[in-house]
Amino acid sequence: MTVLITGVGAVAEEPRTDAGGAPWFDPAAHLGRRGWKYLTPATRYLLAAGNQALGRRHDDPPLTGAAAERFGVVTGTQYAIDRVHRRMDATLTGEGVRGISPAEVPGFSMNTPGSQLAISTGARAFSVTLTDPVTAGLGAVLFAVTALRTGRADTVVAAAADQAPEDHGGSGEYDAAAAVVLSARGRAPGSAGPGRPLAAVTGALSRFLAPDPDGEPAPAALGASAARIAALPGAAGAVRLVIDAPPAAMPLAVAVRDAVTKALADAGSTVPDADAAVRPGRHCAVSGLLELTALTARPDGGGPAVLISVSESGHLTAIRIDNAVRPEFI
Amino acid sequence: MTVVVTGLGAVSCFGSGTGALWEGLLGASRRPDPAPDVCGLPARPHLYAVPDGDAPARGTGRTGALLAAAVAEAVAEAGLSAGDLLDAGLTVGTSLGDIDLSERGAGTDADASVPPATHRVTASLAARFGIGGPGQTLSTACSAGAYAVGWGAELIETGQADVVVACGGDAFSRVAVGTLQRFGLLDGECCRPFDTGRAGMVTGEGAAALVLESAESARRRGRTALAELAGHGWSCDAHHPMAPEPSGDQLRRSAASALAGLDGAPGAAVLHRAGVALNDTVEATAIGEAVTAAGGSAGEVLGYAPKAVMGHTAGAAGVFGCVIAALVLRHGLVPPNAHVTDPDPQCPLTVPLVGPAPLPRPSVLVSGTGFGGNNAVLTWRAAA
Repeated sequence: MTVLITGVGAVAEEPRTDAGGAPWFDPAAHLGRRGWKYLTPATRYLLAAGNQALGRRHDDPPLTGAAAERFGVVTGTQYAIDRVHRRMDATLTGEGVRGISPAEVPGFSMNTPGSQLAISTGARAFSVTLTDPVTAGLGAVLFAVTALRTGRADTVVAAAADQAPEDHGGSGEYDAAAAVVLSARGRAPGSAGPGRPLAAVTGALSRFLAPDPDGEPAPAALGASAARIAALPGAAGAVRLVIDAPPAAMPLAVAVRDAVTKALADAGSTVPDADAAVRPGRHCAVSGLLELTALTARPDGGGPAVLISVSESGHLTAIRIDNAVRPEFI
Repeated sequence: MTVVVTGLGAVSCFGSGTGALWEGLLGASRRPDPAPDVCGLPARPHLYAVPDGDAPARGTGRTGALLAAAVAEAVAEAGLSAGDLLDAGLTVGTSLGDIDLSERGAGTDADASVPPATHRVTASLAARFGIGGPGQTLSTACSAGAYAVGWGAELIETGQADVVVACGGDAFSRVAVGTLQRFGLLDGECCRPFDTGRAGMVTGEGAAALVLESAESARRRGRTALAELAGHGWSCDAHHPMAPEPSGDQLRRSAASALAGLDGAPGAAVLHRAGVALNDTVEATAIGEAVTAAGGSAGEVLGYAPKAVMGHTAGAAGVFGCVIAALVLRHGLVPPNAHVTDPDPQCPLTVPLVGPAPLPRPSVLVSGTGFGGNNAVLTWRAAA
């Protein structure tokens, strides 16, 4: 079965010098004038990216009936409740329990952004939230691909959203959301994700590579994981390799890049030097998905490419993509 | 592909181990204790706490430590070697992860400029046990544990792993308990899901773990299967961020999907039922209707609500449900439901109240529901 990316969406804060200027994200521009006041920032970002990927407006009616039951959402996040939790904790210890606002309560659940996207779009196959630091965004793609292959849905939005712990990159991280619409080729997508295919996801996997005190993984485990990544289905030949990792995971990311480059060569693919990039992910759990949306927006269709998110704890998730049309003709 | 259970682990208000859990469930008398005195509340709410001797100090990543204890027990029972774990998967259901690390006065560095990674529990577990295969942390609110088990099975069914450690855990959070108290969602007496006088939930601490394995892998390793997964269904209400969809249509759909793996009605149902009247009624009605649609009758299913004696363990609850299902199958008994003075007349299932009841058929349904209408239902049968 071929899994196609049929839509992408993204909103992302980027570093800038005028930190006191206008907010980087205007919810009214994305979501209209009403209906978002009590939603957390991460939820607003997610709705904006999800709607963009699905080619819908925020006030479009949700799917219903059989189409809704074949449509799922999976969302990655690592900081969905962080600010709400800190605010509520300060309120509780300062003002006492009466200071907690009812409007804020739904925001104190990691799944609330994803649930709001499911409610807004009518996703009834499932709405699952993954919360692994760094890797949850590409983890959402892996989850969606698996769910499509097992027949739990015909169309899935794999998304990620985070509000960084501090404003304007104060923690070294920035706000963002991204979403891709994935469909199984040949299955009726209903009214969700009707766009033309942008790319194909040909394989996905996740692994744990526990780093040693110097941040390096055990050589045998690294080699075994790299071999599995290189064995993900995909056409032989030149392949782009992109590693997304936060600054603290750089030693691990470089080791993964080198090992995967070698393993791909052993498997018959080549990674031109210019195409083996380690990117410092600064958008929390969204970074990997932002890389995926950027790849699929390229004029050449994004593939073939291997995209890997690596956390400082040694959790990695890899996605292999290719041009949308190629798998049918090889 | 058949997925079986080869190891169980649990840490609960009854202490460490599945033996303590089973004895506690059979005892059917446990009541909650006052929550730690860090709530900032005028009155201390109740909590089914893990005894201090069975848990690390607060502020040390308590959920992760509870998970580690449960996983150690399950891995030991399954007889998994370091070599077996190199390619094993790890799925973790948790709502708040190590939230104690970021609660002032309860945590150790809540005032740090960069917040602690509360949801790093999965990677930490992987490092601790040398688990190197696929893994994810699932946070679908109170159904996270049920999803962690279902997703773990999916990893095996799709060939991504032969063995998966599926677990769930959550520990005391001042903000969680305070918020529930603020909005009148906590029962001030105890958790009494089958009593008409129920007045809300009571939180609990704990962690539970299952070793899931393909039947072929268990056979190859010479391990006895403790239970066999018959089916699992997922759905989302897509209705409200907190309340269930009143018709229960989507929960019924996921139950029907899980029941398709059984021949008729299950012998028992370990319900999510937490003492919140609307949610309890929607769940029991939906499960009953799904059983009827599958050719059985709701009355021939023994309904069981473990939260009465161990509280709502949030992301652990669904895994506890599956561990309890395996214990019910092992012993052929359904523990009595506790704290029932006036039984809920709206529950269509048969509700054992006095003494453990013999399991009428060797199959058990486990349901999980959560904020956002995230439903997951699993069915288990005695291993062949």
